[in-house]
Amino acid sequence: MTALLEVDGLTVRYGPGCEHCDYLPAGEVSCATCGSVFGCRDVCLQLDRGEVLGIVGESGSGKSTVLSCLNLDFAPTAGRILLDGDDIAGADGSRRRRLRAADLGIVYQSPQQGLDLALSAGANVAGRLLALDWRSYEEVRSRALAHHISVELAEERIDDPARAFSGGMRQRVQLARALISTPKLLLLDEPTSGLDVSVQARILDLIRRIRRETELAMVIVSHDLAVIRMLAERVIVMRGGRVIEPGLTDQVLCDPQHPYTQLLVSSQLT
Amino acid sequence: MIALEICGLHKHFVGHLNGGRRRSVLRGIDLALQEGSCTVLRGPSGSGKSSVLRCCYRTYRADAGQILLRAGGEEVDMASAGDREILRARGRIGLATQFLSVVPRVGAADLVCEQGMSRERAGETLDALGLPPALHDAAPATFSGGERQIVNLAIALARQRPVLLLDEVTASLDPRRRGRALTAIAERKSAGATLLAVFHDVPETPGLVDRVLEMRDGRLVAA
Repeated sequence: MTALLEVDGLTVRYGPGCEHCDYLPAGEVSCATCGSVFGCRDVCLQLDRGEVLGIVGESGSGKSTVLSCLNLDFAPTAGRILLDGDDIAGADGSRRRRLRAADLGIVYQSPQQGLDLALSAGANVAGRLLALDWRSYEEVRSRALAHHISVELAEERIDDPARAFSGGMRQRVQLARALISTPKLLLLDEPTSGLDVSVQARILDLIRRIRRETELAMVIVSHDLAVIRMLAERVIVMRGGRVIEPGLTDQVLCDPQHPYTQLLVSSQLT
Repeated sequence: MIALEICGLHKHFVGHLNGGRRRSVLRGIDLALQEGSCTVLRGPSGSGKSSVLRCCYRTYRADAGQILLRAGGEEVDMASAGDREILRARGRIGLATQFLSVVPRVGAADLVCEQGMSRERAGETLDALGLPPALHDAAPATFSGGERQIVNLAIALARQRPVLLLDEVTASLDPRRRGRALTAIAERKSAGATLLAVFHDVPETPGLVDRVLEMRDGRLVAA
């Protein structure tokens, strides 16, 4: 059976590249000879429907670069991204817009990145449907309202501007916006970082509920191993743009093999 | 039929943060579990009992040997199969430990329901194990060690998995609740489940334990 998502050899390089780039020391992301910098290198991963994959690593390890490639923010230098068997890595123009509106949903750490804070919550959520050529106001409005409520936002606040919402509520608006087109893949980039712990807990509970109810495939990037442990059954650990340890989440956390993973796990406050 | 067969299992840890110090915890384990049987591992702390269970569930990665899961479907080597195959196989093998490993904010009955059990059955299971009804909707974050252990065991028993790995699942229970927990485990065995369990005090529940194996320094020795 084909996996929902298959990523193979994903590489993002900023700079010309040279023969020395292939021999960078472990953990090194820039080439001293040509000055190229690697956002990620040779990343491979697979994801089935209903599965959640976590990506962990320190700042600059390449985890958000991988997520941006999956969201088609930019095309990788090399590698394939197969979604349902179709290579979408190099999609451009209208195909890319359509894939982003229909098949991919994303929640960014910063709501400013995912929302237009000057627009109402409802308009932000409905925006994706307009990109998919929904034209009936009533249909768009009623679907946006259903999703607004499903992420546990108060119905009467649907016309309030997103900027009037708290941090946790803005993440809910982002979730509603991501889910309204019933995407195949939900991408979560540090969705709870910067929120206070009680709000963080409620957002995580919401993501768990969505997962249970929709069987949606998700990729979640976080530097917080507790978040990954709660949401993902498989994880990849990244460092210097490369995957240094893939595995089952409980196994990677209980029996880390790579020196860096051991450091990461032992550094967690629990 | 053999439900689970362990052949030549070795496991060591390399502490990269401790100068690469190597510590062997399992040094050649051979063990075959008959379907519907209950095998108890006992031995001093650090002898490797829990490591055997964790390798069987793949929470630990085995360094050598095979762990062949045969019950409930096609044979899977839990020591070497790919991660996604292991996730599928975990539908046939359950691990319950003495520590709660779930979201502590979700109500106890909801946690059991998440395993695919109806709310009514979840309530009955928690009742049978001795969790007061007033606590069924409360979150385990506020529970005592024993109450958490009941929730853990209820979750492990919620799904009808053919093989159950039980790691000191009654360690924090009072004698009355320990008795109830052992009765529930014995019922699961009567229904055909194969059990591999770690107990410091081997239970005397009639019909539960078929054999007791002693572990020392990562090896099985005569009981």
